[in-house]
Amino acid sequence: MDESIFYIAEGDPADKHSQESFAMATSVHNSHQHASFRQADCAKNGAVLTGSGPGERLLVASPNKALLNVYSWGKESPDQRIPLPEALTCLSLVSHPNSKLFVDSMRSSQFNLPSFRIPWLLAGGSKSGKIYVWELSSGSLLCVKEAHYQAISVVRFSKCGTFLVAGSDDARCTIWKTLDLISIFQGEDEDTVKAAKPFHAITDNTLAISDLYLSEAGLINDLRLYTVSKDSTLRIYDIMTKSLLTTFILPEAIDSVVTDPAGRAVYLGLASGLIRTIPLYNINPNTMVLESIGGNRKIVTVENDPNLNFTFVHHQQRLSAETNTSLLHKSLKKKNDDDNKPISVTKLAISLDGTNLVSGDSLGRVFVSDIITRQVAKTFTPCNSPISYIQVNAAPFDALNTPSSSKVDKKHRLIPQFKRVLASRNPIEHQLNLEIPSEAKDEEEEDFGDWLSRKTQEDLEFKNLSGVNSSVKTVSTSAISSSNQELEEKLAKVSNAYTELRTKHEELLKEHSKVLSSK
Amino acid sequence: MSVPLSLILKELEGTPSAIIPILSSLYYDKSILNGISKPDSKHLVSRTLNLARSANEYNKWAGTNIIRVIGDNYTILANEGFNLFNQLIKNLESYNETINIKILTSTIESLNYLCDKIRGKPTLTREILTPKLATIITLYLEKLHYSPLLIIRSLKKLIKFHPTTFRPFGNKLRAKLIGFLHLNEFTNFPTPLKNAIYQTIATLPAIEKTDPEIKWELDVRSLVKELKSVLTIYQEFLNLNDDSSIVKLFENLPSFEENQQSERILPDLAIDVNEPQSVFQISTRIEILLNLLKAYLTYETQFSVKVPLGLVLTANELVCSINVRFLSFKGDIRDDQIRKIIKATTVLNSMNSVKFVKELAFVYKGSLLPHLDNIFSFLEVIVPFKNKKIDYDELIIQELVSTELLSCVSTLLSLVSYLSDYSPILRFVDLALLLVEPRVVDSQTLAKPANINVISNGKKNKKKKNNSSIPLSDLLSHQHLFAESIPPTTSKTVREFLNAIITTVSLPPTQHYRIMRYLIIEAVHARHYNNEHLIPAGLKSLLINAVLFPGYEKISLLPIVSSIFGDDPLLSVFNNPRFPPLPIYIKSASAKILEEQEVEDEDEDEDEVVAEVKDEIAENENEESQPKRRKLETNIVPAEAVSEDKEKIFSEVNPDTVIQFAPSTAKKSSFVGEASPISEETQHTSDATIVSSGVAVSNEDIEEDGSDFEMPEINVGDSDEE
Repeated sequence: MDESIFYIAEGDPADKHSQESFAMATSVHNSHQHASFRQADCAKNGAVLTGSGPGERLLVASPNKALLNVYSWGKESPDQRIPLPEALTCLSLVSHPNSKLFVDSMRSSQFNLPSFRIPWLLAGGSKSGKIYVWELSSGSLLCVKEAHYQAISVVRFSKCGTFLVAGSDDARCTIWKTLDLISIFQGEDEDTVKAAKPFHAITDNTLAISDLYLSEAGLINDLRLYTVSKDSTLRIYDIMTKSLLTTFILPEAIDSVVTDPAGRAVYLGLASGLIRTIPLYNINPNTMVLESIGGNRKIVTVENDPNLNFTFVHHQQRLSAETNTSLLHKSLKKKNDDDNKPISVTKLAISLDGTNLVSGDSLGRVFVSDIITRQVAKTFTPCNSPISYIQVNAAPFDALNTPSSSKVDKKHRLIPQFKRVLASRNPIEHQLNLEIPSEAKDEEEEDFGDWLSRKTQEDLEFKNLSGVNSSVKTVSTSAISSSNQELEEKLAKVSNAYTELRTKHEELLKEHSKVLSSK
Repeated sequence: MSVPLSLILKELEGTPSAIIPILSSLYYDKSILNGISKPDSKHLVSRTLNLARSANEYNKWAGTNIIRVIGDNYTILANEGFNLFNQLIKNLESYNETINIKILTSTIESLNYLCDKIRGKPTLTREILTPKLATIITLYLEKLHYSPLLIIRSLKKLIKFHPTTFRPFGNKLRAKLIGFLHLNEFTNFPTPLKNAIYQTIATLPAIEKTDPEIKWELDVRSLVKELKSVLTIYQEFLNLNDDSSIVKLFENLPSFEENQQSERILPDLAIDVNEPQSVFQISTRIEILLNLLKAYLTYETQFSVKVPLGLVLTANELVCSINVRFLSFKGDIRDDQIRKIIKATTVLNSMNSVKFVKELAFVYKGSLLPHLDNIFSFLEVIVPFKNKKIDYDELIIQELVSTELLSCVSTLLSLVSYLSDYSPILRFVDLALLLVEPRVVDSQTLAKPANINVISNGKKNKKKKNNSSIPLSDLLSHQHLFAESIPPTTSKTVREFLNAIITTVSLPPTQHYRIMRYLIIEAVHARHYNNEHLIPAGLKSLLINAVLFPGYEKISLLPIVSSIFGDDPLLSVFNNPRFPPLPIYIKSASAKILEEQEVEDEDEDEDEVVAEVKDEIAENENEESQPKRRKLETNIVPAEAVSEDKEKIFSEVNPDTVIQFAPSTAKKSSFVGEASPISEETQHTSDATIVSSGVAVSNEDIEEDGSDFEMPEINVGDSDEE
């Protein structure tokens, strides 16, 4: 097993054709580079990777162009450039909802991984505040929603696909039920189609929402939304009850957020280049009891942390030595010289085990740091512009390191073109493009034990077990005795012949000796 | 236990006395074949081949099966594969109906197994498999009727792996399979065989040289067209035009063009209303078409295909909408029998359609969600209704349909994790709860002649034909014996349905309480009537879900469920809520460890916490460990001076000896007059002990009451226990 970190940057605005922009997928634990993608750059949160390994894809919303670039894992240049109705600023993917579908009571076996596979929905937010939702396997545009007054900075699906959350520069955050957005085939006249309203709209913030994160919840009631904003607040919401649980007020603007996989802490990337750990519960020093921090609409002011017990500082270091070495990118150096504006931590991600924090900053650097010691564990080849998206995927070692077999011809590799107009309300026109997967457990397969027991049964059927069997035996014994008799007769015959021969021989011998003696 | 090779070779010389041990040892003891010498291997193979060649059926059978087992070994397969293969093919070729069928099946199985083994290894495939493949396919096709299931499945596999080689045989196979579909007996074929036939037809497009996906799509579309053309027959019986939506559905679905009529798979229907039996052909035909369509849409394709999902769903909608509940019979259909038969065919159609939709959910998952409301509304039509109430009698008669319906709805519901609108679901919930209601046979109904309608209690007139004059006294005296039990499959399906419901939808109170009531009663019953007092797994998960998803209810079921089965690990987490452990950077300082201990052992007995803390400290301060522990324990006891002295005295003594020497501490302390200042660690640990609970203190008190000699021994024992 290996963990692969994918990161992509915003691209140098001077570089019109993104010639200098690269996106990389690199191992966390060793020096393997798993994949690289050329001419890839996007606005913050404007890229999504379906997974790591052959057969997976990277979708990148081209900045300032109404274009979506689709890369196949293992190929450096884009496979497809799909025109969009509008330039998108952020993307989010969700895979088919199937966690409850493949439990034992429903169906005993899963499907094998087909070579052609695409997730379920792609959502995008635009500069004009619209949310677009496409179904990937058909390419149909299922929904266009004018959701916000200003550019949407981030969209995210909950893991189960139930909710879509969008955060925007207009300081609002809207939560949508996915089902409302995509139910397009109900009723044919436009009037009956209810204009989907947001499930909940959050207007607590005063400045732009910069990032948001949804917890992975096994129970939909436990779904938590973490929003961070330029107004220096981290807010935690319970989605199902539409209630604000806790507000954390930080000393400075927040640019990015990620939570511990087990929900023990939140990590915030601040505009000043610090990464701040916000524990969600700690030990009360008076009672020595573990207590939750916040909740119940509490407002918690997060003090400065002079002892750096909860702060990662490595992004703040603008190492002059580093800039002098030729290792760093030229433009980075230039930037350093030009403006000394503070480095902000633009994107955060967390590793599988929750012990490594992956962070990208506005200088294009990406670090992996150990959460407990707050030390940098690994640095990556920097990009030439602010990091816009980071994704960590754990995958089997050989899946990441085998060169992708491009056996699949292009026709079967490309995803359907996206429609630029809303999908028809007529269900008959709903047509999917996919490879039907094969059953993981073939009904005909049987293991050796089953085979052997079947053969035992057959063996038994060959054998005669009936009562008739014994009579057959008596017949056979009588046959034996008769053959014995035959043999005895034969023996008698042979011995008779032998004695005859013997006597003849003796007679001859006598004759012979007689002849000899007579001589 | 395995039979040694020498014995195996000997056995194989003539008719083997016991073949099973040989097979199992050859398979499980890989060392036999891996370590086999060249002459032995020659012997083994030639004897196996001799057996397979033998005219004796048993020997032939045994030889064939040994081939399958020794084919596992790569060396034998590589050297002798050709001969083994040839022999099997020869046997297959010479097979006729006078020979035991087991020879045929074993031969085919062994052939398939060898094919599987060879496939993917380029040289072997080139040398052995490819030259023979065409022969194998021809022979399989020839012998198809002897063992259809096995051979069709084998052919399906060959199509999948060798589409190009299969190409010349495609039409022949298709004709054969469609010939099966045309048979009148086809409906009565065993389901696995039917499925194999459907799936093989569905895989056939793979052999197309160019654009198999286009052929696939054409097939699917023409199936839909054919389905529609069959459905139009209902126009003769029912006033389909009464329902504008049905007319619209008909219009929406494509029909065959004049020149496309040849694409039909099935021959024309011949239905005579005077021969009611012939009406059932309609439902048979729709079953075939739907199942074939299902095979196309759910059986694996090796290539990406364009699936007209919307079209298929619309076709299903049409199938379900043709329903006598909303449509009236045409005037000229007066015969009651015919009416009943037509109704029966529509019910059968909807059942097949429901099964189909359920299967679709597994393959198309989220893509079905845009259609969800639509699907629910056409499924709802199937629920039998009478006078704005679910028709209980009808429901029980159609129990099979109803359970299929519930299982389909629960599958669809599992696609969503949260559904805010419960209105489309309510009818199914009512249906489910009715299905598991106790089925009481009304004695009044039974006592009366069957044809007299019951005046009041119309809901429960399940009737038993009771026209004969059997005494009814049993019925009156032992009524409980006449209560029909709910079939286990029904209750299983209903439980799965309820599971899907309570995890996705917040139901209105009425339904919610009814479900909860059902669950609790069932659980208590189930537990009571088995010796182990256990609750079946399905019900258990249902109860746990009822706790996890309280829905509307603000009062949790937790106490009830906990008392029914409190030993469940998940419920234990619920009853003893905890935070996940925090990651902590372990410094060697004892203070850190102390803190960590506090955190991790939060839920444990305080007593233990203290003990472990002490342990930790003891371990960290190697030499002083034992005395320190003892000191800690006595710390709470007012004998402070004593403890301090102990510290002093025993600080440099081997911990093991402490136990022995302990009794004399009190005396010795008087000799050592000077009390040494308490070390910092000691100070710290004594702070920690404040946390310790009263239990520990009381223990100490008790010990204090004992004699001087006994006190430390008890202490030691105590700490060991901890």
